[in-house]
Amino acid sequence: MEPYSSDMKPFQKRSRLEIIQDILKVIRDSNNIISPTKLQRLSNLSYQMFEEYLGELESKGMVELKQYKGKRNVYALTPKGKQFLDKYEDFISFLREFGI
Amino acid sequence: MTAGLFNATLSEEFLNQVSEGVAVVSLFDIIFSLLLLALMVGLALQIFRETSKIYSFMEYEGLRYFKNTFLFYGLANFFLFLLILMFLLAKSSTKESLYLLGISMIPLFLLAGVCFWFAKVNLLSSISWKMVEGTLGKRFHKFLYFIFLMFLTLMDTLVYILISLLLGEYYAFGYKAFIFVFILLLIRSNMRSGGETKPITNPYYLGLILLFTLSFLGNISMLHEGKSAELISYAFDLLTLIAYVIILKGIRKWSRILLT
Repeated sequence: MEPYSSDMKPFQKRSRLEIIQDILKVIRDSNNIISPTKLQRLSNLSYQMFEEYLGELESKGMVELKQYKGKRNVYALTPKGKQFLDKYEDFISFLREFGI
Repeated sequence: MTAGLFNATLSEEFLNQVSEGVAVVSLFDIIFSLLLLALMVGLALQIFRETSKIYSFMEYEGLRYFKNTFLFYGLANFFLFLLILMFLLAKSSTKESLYLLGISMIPLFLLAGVCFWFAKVNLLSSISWKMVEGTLGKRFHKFLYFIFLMFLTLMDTLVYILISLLLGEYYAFGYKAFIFVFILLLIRSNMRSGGETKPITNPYYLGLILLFTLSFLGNISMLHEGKSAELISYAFDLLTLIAYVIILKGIRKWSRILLT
């Protein structure tokens, strides 16, 4: 699996919303179960940034940290996270139409 | 006894001044302004309510500033509505109504001014957020950024006043036009960001541009005097209403799409 946002130009900085979308997409595309290490690598973030974003997503109830087979910690999308991802494209169009 | 007489004379003088001020404004103007302001309050608060629903789902910081803009516009127009209502009451020329107008005029005017200031800062924050969001992670940094924009908006007003006093109104208008072009460029860059290449089918951003034009170039009526200034002021109010209607229409459409 390739790191996300591969459709972007080289050296183009991702916006906060794009990073959130990428993290959620990685989780969804990994059958909704992914280890923190793999998630960090595939979402193309430094450890510090990854901690920051995942903390925020957890506090907003978009992702949850679960136990997989009683041993490992894995991240999974919550229904709110799935809904956010479904509506993301629409939300970007909404922001563009208003110029914000 | 002397103090009592002095107070009575002062109070009498005060009431006479207020009464003269009220006499200058026609009843038609007062009722027309009341209607316009009531509409503006209603529309601004409706935009705030609808945007709050979208914000509670997406929690995008730029949208938070956008919704707060309309809360402050709603409040500012509400304070102006109260002020004009006091004028209407004072038309009855009773001592109590004149006194009420006299004592509430300055506080209501100040409250409206502060709310307009906050609305402007929030509007500016909403369009500039995309540009700075990557660098402002901590809550304290966001707060500092907001304070910076408050200062910038205040400075903009002060610079405008200074230029108009030292160089004249037309130079001041040129300065405002320069600021306006800068704001247009910011809005344009937001419309192009997000990696989207699809054309924009519904130009709701026109409502935002209209609002910016009115709040940042709002002093154009000062270039004229008398009836033409009054007409320009009414035209500005009507354009503000149009901007609110455009934005509300867009927000309603998008809240249906995003929240179902």
